[in-house]
Amino acid sequence: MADIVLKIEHLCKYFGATKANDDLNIEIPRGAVLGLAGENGSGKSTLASMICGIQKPTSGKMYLNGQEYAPKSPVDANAHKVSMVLQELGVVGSMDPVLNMFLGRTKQFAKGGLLNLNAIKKEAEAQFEKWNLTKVPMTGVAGNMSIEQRKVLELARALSIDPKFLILDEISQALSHDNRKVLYDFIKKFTSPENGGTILMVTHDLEEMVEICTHISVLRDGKIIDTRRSEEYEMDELKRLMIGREVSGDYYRADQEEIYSDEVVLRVEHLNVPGELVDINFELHKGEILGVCGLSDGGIHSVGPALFGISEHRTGTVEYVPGKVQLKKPLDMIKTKGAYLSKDRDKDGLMLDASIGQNISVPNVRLLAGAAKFLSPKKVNDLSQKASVDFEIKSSGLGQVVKSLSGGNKQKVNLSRWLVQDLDYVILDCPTRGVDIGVKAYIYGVLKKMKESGIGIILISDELPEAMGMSDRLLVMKDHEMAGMLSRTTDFVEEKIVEVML
Amino acid sequence: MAKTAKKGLFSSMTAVRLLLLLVFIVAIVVMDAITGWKMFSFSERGLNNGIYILRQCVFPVCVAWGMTFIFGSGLVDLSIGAQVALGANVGAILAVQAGWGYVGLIIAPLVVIVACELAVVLCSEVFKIPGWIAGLGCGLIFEAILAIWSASASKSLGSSVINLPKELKVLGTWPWNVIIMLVMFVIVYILQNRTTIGVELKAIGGDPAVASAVGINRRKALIVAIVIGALCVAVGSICYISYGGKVEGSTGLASLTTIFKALAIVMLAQSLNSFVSEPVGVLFAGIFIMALVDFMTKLKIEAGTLQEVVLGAIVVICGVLSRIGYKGVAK
Repeated sequence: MADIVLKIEHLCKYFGATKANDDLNIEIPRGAVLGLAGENGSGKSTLASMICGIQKPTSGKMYLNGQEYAPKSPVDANAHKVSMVLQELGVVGSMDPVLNMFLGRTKQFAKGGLLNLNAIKKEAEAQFEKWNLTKVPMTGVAGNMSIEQRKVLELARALSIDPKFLILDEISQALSHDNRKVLYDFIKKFTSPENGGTILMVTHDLEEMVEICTHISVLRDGKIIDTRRSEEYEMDELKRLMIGREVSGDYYRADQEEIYSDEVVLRVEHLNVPGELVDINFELHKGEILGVCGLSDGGIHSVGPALFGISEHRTGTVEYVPGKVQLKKPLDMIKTKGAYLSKDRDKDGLMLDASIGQNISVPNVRLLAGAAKFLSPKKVNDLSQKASVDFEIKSSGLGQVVKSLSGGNKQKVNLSRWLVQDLDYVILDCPTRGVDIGVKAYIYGVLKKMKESGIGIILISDELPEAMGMSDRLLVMKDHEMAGMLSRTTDFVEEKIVEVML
Repeated sequence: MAKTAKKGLFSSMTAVRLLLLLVFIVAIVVMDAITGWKMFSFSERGLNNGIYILRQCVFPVCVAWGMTFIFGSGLVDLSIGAQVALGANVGAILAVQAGWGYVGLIIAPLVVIVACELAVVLCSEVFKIPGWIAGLGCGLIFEAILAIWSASASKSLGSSVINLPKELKVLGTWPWNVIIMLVMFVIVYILQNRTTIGVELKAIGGDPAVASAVGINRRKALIVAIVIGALCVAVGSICYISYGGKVEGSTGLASLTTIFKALAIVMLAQSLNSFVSEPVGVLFAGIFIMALVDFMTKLKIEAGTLQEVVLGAIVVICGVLSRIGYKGVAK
């Protein structure tokens, strides 16, 4: 009989009339990696947050190593050797990374009331060393770190309590190709018989889930639909179980041709940002999807801010060719029918405490303003309503606060607020980060329509299959420079692209 | 294997700190030169003007340290000026009229200001209103209490309640007030940088959601931070009344002017906190601002007008300089 680490019996979590988790029953064997598959809002994060003591169940029981387990708080969960890397919450940006790692647990380093900062730093470094995690800067404040570095820091923080049960909630979505490999190696090591760890993993990357997890539970509308060993799942079956309807196996582009107009929309020449980009040159054509990919430290996420005009000390030129306009600041891009969506939608994109309507209308007020610059409330409301309907945002109405939406719906708001405009070109940095397969398929559908209508798209992506699946050409970056420009017609082979990356 | 970075003579952070210190010294020397080397001259009573500047620092710097705890916890409380006046006057009454001497002078402001600050927090937490609104509301009440009280006291005292006799003013005299400030500096530095209290304070002020998620009791950490901050403000208040002999009350939130210099010091210190920790920043910002005020006074620049313009401009410039290199997108 399998050695069961965590047993969940009839677990329910209700928020008013909403059943976030409804009568869940799971048994997780020691050393397993259990993947939770489900759409945004299916209840995966709620389950994870109950296991790690952030939320309390409405009813039902949990047993950890055979003992009843009802954590009162995350600290209580930590005391039971249960730890978690959260999907949304991260680090305290105004504090240094080392203190962030031991937040809430600094007392163990205090002697006579005084903290031993050297001991904290040594312990932090030891965690990175022990699990072979990619090093992150340990000086300065955590707010200056990239999303990827913050996620690695959060993982190191979760590991610093020496957990035996670890919950990873959408961590890989923030990681690039090379750091995902580091994560997978870590998972193997953590769950090996020597370490005896067990992992509950939430990810929207189904290929990754089938590859990495030993077991998969499918959640839909707060209920567990199915649990099996991962090798027993066919990909299309898994998608169907998640969504509740058939989802085509291929949601990327079906064609293998580099197809776009000869007309150039954007011309980028000798683009440099000290320490971030070195001599980037390319042209974006009408109706082209230009993918940008590379390793984590390759500089791909510096491209968007540099084009948008928010990078410090940028040199070189970015020209909107149809209007012969040099793009130097964000307003230049907006005036030339361009848009930019950053990777960190919560920090740089959305106003989380504002309503859906406000989020959608703010970037569009210039378009809606009359001759005397007055805004018609009806026009504003109509536009927000249209965007909400077009992008199928699931909400209680335009007045709902964005913070309370699921990840996928947040991303739909983020996309819709720009894409509702009549655009000529758009820069999208990881537009499918943290969204489920249904929303992913929807976003790819939107990209295909945009391409057909002649909009030039720069698609910056950490996911190689996505970049390959959607792009006409692929700009591969290495060490902040262009390592190659590959064509969909002749060069889109994973091995070839990885070779250019490395 | 982890790579070990090679270190030069100084790390870049140490170099920046040394540069800041150099700028600070040069600025003081330049001001001294412009005044005809009067900033460190001796008075007829044999007191160096530099010591006078240090004495002037004590009140705003102690209050500014208190503010770093209070503001750092996420509560922007603007009733601190009113609390200072109320606490100092209650202390003086107990010291003189009740005959408690220094015990009353010290204990009363500590108790009164902690109680006032807790009242503001309670108001904000229970009624779920922003701290600055709770602070302004409570500030009006604290001011009114002192105004009603002083109206019933001797008319010759203006809007204060009582005058401290000379024998109870030792804590406001050199070197005791400066010693108090330096002791406070050590305590505040250790509390903020070397204790769990400081770490939890920064966490709840930086991101309450993350702080709660890692198990920090937000309410408990908030109360602890507020009490420590109030105690710092109270020490400032004791030194303030001991220095001047009396503290005038005010109404209509005019008590904000009492803490304007402390506010300027906090803002200046916050603009430097990428390079030095806040307690150190407050000390240097306090000395710099009081030296600047002394410099402007020596140049016969009027207080209340141009002096405040210059102070405001310095704070803005420091704020701008501290944001250079900031990476982010305006939402």
